Amino acid sequence: MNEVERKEVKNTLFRIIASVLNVEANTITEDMELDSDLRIDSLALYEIVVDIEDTYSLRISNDEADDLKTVAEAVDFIIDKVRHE
Amino acid sequence: MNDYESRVSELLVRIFDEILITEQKALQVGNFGELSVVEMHTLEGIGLYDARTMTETATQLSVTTGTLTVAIDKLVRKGYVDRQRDDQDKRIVRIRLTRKGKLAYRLHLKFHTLLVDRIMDPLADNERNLLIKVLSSVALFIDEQDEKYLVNALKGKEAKSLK
Repeated sequence: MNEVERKEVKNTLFRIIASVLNVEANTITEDMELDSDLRIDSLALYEIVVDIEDTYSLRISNDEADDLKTVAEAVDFIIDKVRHE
Repeated sequence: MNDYESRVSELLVRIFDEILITEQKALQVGNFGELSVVEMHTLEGIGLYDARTMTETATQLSVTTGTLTVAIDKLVRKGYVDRQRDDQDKRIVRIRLTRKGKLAYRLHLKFHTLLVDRIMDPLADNERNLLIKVLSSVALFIDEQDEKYLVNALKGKEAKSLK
């Protein structure tokens, strides 16, 4: 996946996180931790996961989602999933 | 029953009762208090992804399609399940989880994962294998008892109809 496509995934993820947490997308950065910085609990995490699955036609397990620590990790994870599914 | 047997019996009954109670509490904490544990297990039977027919789901859950229809009516009303007729064959009804249904499913799965991790983490491989063996034996016994009561109930019905 090239840089343009990475940017598209990143923007989509930011938009989904912003919508679930009810915050502005421009307040989110890639280095943020899902747990400590964004305060994403299990319910919010799975809301984000379900929206990502719908957007990219992916299947993401709870375990895969629970292992994600930062926004950057989530972006890379989605890109990797899109490549392999 | 000796002391050891009494202890085993007490633990089995307590685990059975408290898992159900705790599952219900976990649903309430996760904003899904309107769901009963039985309804949650119906969502599990439908599965997270592909749409399934009523017949497939009823088989998976070991219930009749009539029983499932009543359960699905409620879940559709509560917004957890989406129901659609097949475009080609109108006799076939397909059901799938809505976004809300998927969230309930995932949170419930997490509860089960935490439960299993808590039990399994301190165990060595041989202890894990022994646990599976013991639990399988308990499950088999319960299945056998269930089957026996079902057969007796059918026999009772037949006897009544002959009178």
